[in-house]
Amino acid sequence: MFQVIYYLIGLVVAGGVLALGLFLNKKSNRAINIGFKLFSLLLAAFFIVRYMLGPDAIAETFKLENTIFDNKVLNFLAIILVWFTYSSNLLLELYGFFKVKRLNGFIKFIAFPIAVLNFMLTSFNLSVILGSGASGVFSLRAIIFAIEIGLALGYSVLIFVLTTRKREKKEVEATDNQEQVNFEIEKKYQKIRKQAATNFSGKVKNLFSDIWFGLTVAFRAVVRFIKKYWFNVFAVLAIFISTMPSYIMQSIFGYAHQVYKLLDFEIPHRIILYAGLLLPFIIHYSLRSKDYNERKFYLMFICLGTLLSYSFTKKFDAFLDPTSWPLHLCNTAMYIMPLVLIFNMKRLFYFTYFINVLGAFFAMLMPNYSSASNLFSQSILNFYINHYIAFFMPILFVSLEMFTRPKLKQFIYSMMFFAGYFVAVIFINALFTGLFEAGLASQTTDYFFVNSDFIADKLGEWAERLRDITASFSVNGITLTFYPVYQVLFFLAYVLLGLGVWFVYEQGYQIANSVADMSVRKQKIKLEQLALMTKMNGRSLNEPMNPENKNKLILRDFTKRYGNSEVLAVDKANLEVKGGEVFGFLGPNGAGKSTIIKTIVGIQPITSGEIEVCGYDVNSQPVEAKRCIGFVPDHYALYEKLTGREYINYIADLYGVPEKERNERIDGFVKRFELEGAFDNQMKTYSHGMKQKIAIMAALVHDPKVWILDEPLTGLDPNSIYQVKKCMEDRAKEGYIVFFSSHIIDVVEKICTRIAIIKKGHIIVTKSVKDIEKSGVSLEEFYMNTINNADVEAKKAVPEENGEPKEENKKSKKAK
Amino acid sequence: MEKQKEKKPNGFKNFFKSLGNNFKLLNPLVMMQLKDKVDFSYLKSRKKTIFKTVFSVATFVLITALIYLLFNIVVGLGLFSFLQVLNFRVYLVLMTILFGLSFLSCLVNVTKTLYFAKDNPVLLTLPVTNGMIFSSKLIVCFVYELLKNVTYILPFFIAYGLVMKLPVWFYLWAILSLIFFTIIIVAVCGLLSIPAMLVAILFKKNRVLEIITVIAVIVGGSYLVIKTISMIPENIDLVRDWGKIYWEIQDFLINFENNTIIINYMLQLFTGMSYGSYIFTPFSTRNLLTFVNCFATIVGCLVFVYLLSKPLFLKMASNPFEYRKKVIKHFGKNRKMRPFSSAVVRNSQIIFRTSNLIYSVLATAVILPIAIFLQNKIIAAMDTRILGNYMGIAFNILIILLMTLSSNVAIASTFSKEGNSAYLNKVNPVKYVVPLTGKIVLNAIICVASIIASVVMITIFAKLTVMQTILLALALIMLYLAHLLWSAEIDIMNPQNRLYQTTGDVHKNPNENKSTIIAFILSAVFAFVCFLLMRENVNVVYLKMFFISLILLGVRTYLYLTKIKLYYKEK
Repeated sequence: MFQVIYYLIGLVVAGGVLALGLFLNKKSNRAINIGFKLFSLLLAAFFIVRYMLGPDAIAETFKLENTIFDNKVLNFLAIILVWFTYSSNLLLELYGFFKVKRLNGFIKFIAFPIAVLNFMLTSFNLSVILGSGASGVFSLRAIIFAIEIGLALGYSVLIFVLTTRKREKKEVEATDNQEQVNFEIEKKYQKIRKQAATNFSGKVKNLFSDIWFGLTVAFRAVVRFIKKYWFNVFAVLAIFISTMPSYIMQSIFGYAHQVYKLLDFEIPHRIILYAGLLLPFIIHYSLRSKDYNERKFYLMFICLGTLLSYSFTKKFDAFLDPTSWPLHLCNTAMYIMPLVLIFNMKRLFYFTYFINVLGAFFAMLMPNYSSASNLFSQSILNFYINHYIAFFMPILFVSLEMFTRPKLKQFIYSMMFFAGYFVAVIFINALFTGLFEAGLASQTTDYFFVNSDFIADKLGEWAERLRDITASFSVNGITLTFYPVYQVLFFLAYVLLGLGVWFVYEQGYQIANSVADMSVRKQKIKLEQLALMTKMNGRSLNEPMNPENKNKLILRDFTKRYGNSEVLAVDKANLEVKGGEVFGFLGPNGAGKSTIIKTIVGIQPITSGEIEVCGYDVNSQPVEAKRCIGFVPDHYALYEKLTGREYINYIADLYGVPEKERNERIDGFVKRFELEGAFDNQMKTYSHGMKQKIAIMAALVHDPKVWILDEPLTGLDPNSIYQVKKCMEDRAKEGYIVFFSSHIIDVVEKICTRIAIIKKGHIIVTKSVKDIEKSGVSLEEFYMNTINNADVEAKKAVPEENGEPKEENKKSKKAK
Repeated sequence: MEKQKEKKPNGFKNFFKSLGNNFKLLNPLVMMQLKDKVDFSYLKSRKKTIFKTVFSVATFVLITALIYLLFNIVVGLGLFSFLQVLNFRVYLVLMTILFGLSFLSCLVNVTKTLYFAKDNPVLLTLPVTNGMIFSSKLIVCFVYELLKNVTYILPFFIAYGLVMKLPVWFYLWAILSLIFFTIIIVAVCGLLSIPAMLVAILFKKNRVLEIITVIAVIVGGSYLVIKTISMIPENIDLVRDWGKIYWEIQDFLINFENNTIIINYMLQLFTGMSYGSYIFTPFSTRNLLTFVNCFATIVGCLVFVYLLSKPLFLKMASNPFEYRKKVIKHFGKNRKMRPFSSAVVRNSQIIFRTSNLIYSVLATAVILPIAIFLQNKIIAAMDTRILGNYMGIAFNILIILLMTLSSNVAIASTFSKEGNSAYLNKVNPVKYVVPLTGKIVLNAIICVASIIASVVMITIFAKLTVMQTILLALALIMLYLAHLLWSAEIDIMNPQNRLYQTTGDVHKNPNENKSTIIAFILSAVFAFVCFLLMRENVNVVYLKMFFISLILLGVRTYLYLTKIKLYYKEK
């Protein structure tokens, strides 16, 4: 009779939910969304009340034996059904509040079949939860359970009907396509390289290259496969493992062998500790690339699921007894975690963040269980579920950006919160101990272990002695005992540990940031390499990218920004210098001359745009480009402990200059710069001019096609100035490029064929010296007029979200 | 005339006015140099200031607590006195060593700051008198030394006061004494810096003489140490022979007290205590005489410093001896090498020509095996149980790691020290890793050789198998290399080239501090883990250590190479 009523209740509720849902859906999207929320809340309410009213009867099962069913298979199925019901109910309860990928799928493939099964097995379910024969009698809990079954059924059918299957693979497919394109480019490059190899060593090299290529292809395929399916596996595991009831192991398997103890760092204890350290990494790396909503959904699911599992021993009746309140910090954390996430309670969160993690870690290291502690017992699983969550969830909340990284202010708030908590538990402990001693309470309390000698005992005799200092007060015959020195030191030690924990967190986040940044940069380099391969179209990467420019120095839209500077040091500079030219680069101090020169020679990276030296791209072919350049810096910084000869030979070695050519060139330079007497002395004994000469020799020892000089004549004697100028002219005559910056306009006028003037990061004019002469003004006058009349301002650079600078033009440049 | 007379202020007023003006000028001069010498950057951030303050106070308290604990153990065991007090003669020995170390460090600091600092010529161009520049240099030395003494000597005073249960006045007296002590050593070192500077110049001019002296010191020192070690008896039983040893120690302490009268009197003045007295009496006749003597010494030294050191300082600052040319008549040859070999050879040449670099590396290489030999000789002479043997090996590992990893601290500034020359690593057509790694190879070779020698020493005493020896040596070498690359990476990622462009000598390089902390933590953790693993299963401990080191080296090598590739261009 009652059995039919329970079925009917379920059916009516399910029908009502379905009908109401369809009606709301017809009305509007907003209405059905409100409906989803309502159904989720209703299901949650009925589920929580039913769950908290008493324990699951099936939990009494031990090694698949109980008083409900005689059949072990039935018992096993019942346990699994209860477990899966928790998972499916939680999915449905969160459905109304989250729109995340895969959730529809989970409802269809997990919640829906389980809800149908639960409804069909209502009678069986009632026995499993309420005990044998429960379906035959009337009880409030049975009615609530029947409504819960009906709600879950109606709600999951509604979702099934309303949602259509959407393919969410666009992004994945796009990534796959890009991977395929990259692979094709690399394959093509390998093939052409192979064809180009004619000699034996080239072929051997290619063989190794092929093997390596094959290995990387295989590795990438595996990585792609894992990437593709990893998250699905993670999500399913997260859903089921976090909702697994803590009694499940002992109910199915009984206690494990007594050897498997979770104490004293024995192997099982270590394994469970390693798992506690590994799990946060797995969760972090699985969720880090997901959007905020999805991250929040999974974190909330894990928090609520584990709370469900943990709450098995904390039903309503437990809350009626103050000595059973979850006031041990790690117990409290089980409730705080979902709360802070649902209501975004920042201060409460940071309290947990600084205090709980540490406490949980210590607790996991030295669990307060007897030597009979058994791996599969419910209490042990409860303990580790609780401490895992208290240990890593706060860290995950920050690492997955649910909350920001704390500042000093948050630390102070959390410590104030902690102080309040600490004082409260001291008084509660003292009160209940007093009541117990007066025979007015059934047991004492020892919240946060500040009342008993549990911690003092572990610390040693000195701590016990501190604890011996007591202060007692008698109120209405109840003695309240405090341990002032011990408790104050306990508090202070915890605050200091909190500070230490903060430091550890920061280090951890820095490592995480560094790894993420490295990954982004590596990806960028990889893409640049692929772009170069595409441009080279099968040619060797050591060849010039643009062979037609092999006698040119070219800047295309070159832009440079230093770090996070608000202005651009150089803005879209365009320049082309041909072989045979002596090119002068003029501009006031801070205009951007040295920045351009430093970027061409490789001291500074390029922000955007391109620089080409003899057909080589400075960004993607830096080594080849540098081989064509000889550079004289604006200061004479050298390795002064070396002799001139040692230094020049070192540079020649780096450029791979053969010995014969090296001897000829070095001897020639030594004579030309009159360094015969000093060349084998340590350079620290040289004068400024001598050091400058060595810098010039070092720049020319490899006979570069492009000679770049930054303020080269500073500090040189007249003879050396003449020699350097002569050298510049000679090299230009040989067809090489000489590119130099100077403030000495007379020299520029005499030896340069063309000049460029730069102001505030803008190249405002490029002109041949002859043209300037033809216009009837000296270079000096031309320079002064250009600089004074140019209306340019340094461009502001606004960083975009992806870190690339966004340029904002303040004023247009005008050259008169 | 009368008007002029009226305008002229009286002498007393004038003196104070000029003193005030001088102080106004001196203050920025001192602050400017101090900021260059000591890192005050944390003051810009409230969080960093709090951290720094808490950290400094915690360090101070920790050092004091450790010394107090040590003193308490000594008193509790009655090692040097049958009475339950700390024997003043023992305290004298300890403080003599500390004062000696403080004096040596001060002498080096004063000599460098006065005569060899790169900022000297720049300071001479400032619109202040030469005397003021000189005075500012001495004040900077004083402040720097005082900070050092507060960190390292004051805890010994406080711990002594706590053990002897001295009144609160003692601590105030100790602080004043420390200031007084710092003034004395700065004044004396100011005077002694003249011969020190002349010796330094002599060595710089005569490289051969310098090398001969250093070799003589090393060989002589090593001979003395080894001879002393070999004097250690084969079987030491402290419990059985304690009576005899106790009186030998007392004889030594009396002899020591008789031979260090000046330091003894100074310590009596600083502590207000003496041998056999257990009451704090700072105002005794002897202390008054000692104070007068010390004061006279300070005044005398400062007068001589001002008269002798100032002209020399000005001469050195305006005409550095580095620029004196020396003509070499023979001519070298040009030889071609591979880029990496060339980088290693050139950087080795630079290290061999930089005295402090090569001496610190060589010192580690020579001292380490001797220290291990000494330690094992002592342990071998003792009757130890299995746990003691394990502790002995763990302690050996700790010493080896502490010494070799500490030598890597110099690597954490090796690239920064290139100053303006750092650009050379970027403009050459080779991968960055070639010139950068070339700079650390010599250190690695010397220290690896030293580790091998030290492990051989352990093997002789601990009787390890060949396989265990090889695994232990490899584990230690890999750990050393991992820290070497880590230190190098720290400097590459956070170059401090600008610091080395001014004074050329930075005492508070953050990279070096970081490397030191890592070295200490790595050494302690590795030795401790090794001890724990030995307790668990001694047969596989070396294999486990080998794998731990291998993983660490793998990770650090990967990060070193990757970070150079990804970040160096921007640094």
